[in-house]
Amino acid sequence: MRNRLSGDVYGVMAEFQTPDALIAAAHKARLAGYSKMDAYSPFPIEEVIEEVAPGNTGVPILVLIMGLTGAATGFSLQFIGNILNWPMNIGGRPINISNWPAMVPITFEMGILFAAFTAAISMVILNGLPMPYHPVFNVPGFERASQDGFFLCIESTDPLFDRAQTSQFLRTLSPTQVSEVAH
Amino acid sequence: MATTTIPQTRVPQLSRLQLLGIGAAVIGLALLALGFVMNPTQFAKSYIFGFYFSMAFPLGCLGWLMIQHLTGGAWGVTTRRMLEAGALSMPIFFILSLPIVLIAYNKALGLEHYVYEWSNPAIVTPGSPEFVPVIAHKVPWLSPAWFAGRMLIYFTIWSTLALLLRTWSLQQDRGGNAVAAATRMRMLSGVGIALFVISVTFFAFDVGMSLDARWYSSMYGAHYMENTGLSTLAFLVLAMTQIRRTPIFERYVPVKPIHDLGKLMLAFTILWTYLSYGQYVIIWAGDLAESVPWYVRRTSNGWVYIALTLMACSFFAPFLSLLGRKPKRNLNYLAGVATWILVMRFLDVSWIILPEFHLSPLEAYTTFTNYAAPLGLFGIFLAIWSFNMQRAALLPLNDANMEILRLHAGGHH
Repeated sequence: MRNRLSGDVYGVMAEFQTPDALIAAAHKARLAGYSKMDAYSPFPIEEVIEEVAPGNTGVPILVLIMGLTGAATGFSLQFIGNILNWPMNIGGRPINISNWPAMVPITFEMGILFAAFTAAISMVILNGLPMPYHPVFNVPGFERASQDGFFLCIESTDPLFDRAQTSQFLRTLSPTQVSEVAH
Repeated sequence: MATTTIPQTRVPQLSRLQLLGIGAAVIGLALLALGFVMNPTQFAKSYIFGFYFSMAFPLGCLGWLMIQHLTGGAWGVTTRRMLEAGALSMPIFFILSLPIVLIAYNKALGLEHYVYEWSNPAIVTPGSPEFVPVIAHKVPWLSPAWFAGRMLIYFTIWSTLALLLRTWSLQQDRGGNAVAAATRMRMLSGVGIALFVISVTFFAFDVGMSLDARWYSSMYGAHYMENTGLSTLAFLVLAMTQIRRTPIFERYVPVKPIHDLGKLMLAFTILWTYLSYGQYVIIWAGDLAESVPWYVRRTSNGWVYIALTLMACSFFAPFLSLLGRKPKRNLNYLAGVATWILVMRFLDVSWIILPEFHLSPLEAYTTFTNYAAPLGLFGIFLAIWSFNMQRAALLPLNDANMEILRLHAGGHH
């Protein structure tokens, strides 16, 4: 995956002091044509997400499909069990499809169960977790990304990446520091 | 943060809305007056429906106003002035509640029968041939005098909260200690929201649920409160379309609060479904003689089609329309959904109230006073709302929550 022209680094990273500076930097980087980049901040910043990862993550559609599957499963379980295969009179309620109000809670619960598990599991898988090693932690002071530091990293897999020029570009965005990220 | 002096912004749309509100009020009330002359009893029934429907807006405004003081957030500071303007209509709606009290007293209006069964002395007097013990049992609570007293208590609470929150908010605008003003409003909202939940629950029991004094549901008050919240959210989104293009909004209000209102509409659509269905399934599954008649009335003679329409159009349609992220960030799209939701609020409240008065939906929806009353009362609300909106700055610029808007407005244009 390493680009010969880019040299042996994971990318270059700039640190900013405020969320506003990070938002502005990410915006400019995207306008400059960079697409393989990521931002690191102590709290989620919606505007930055839109700049560094425009488009959909795939999680919403997975959750919708699995939620509907779960609801269908829940309904079928009750319908097949209680009405088709083993009709049972419970408190005088109807033993046919008009008993549907009683089946809604389980249908709903199964839909939520499937959707929630899909959301959590697909988030973990699509994020590439578990990941015991990640190069960005080689940047000195990077632990502040979970305290008060706002980081933007342009990765060497970006078609426009050039070790010197990209570092120079990041310096024009008035960061507090720019460092190369070793592998 | 520096204190900002805010110039009055003239928003031409607001004066147009005020005229529209006055027009709707005049037409609605004129038709209602005609209805009163033609058939006082039908007038009384339609007035109860119209009042119950329209009260959702002042109540929802007051509720959301207190909630946003307690939670903060971009959506709260953006909508605060709209909520204040709506909540301020409370004293006028107190006057508009007087006909309800007169209906409970019955004789004052010369009705042909008692609209509130519990106000009929023959029903609650032991030994009378029409005596109904289950209603007589409730007389300590359901008596016309105490009914009138409770209306006074409810509207005193609501009007006091609305007036105090507005006054302090305007003091904050004029400078002074913005943080102290914010703390004061938050403290009052904390107490106020508790009073609000209790008073609105009993208001719903009194005006709506007691139409069938033999029936009760502890979910009824929560359902009405939910209705006030959803109606007001839809109203806020539509109001936003009118004032969004004013310079101060263009400058400070990013897309985030609109997205937030969209999310809240989705959440309240789901909550409506939960409360409506929860109440139904418990009573349906229990199948007890004292609790099912209310639903039997609402599923016979064609009313079941209204119930099914509500399931499809008040849950599935808005739920699916509000699922995505992109649509919720488009104000025009959201306004379309909000209009749809408001129509469904009308249908839902009519399904809750009108089967007490009309055997079939055909009869209910062809009675002109059933439209005149909501139109007139909502027109009054709209006129007061737009009047108040023009009497204060559109955003509380001195509030600390404005910082959130500045942060979000900073990254984008």
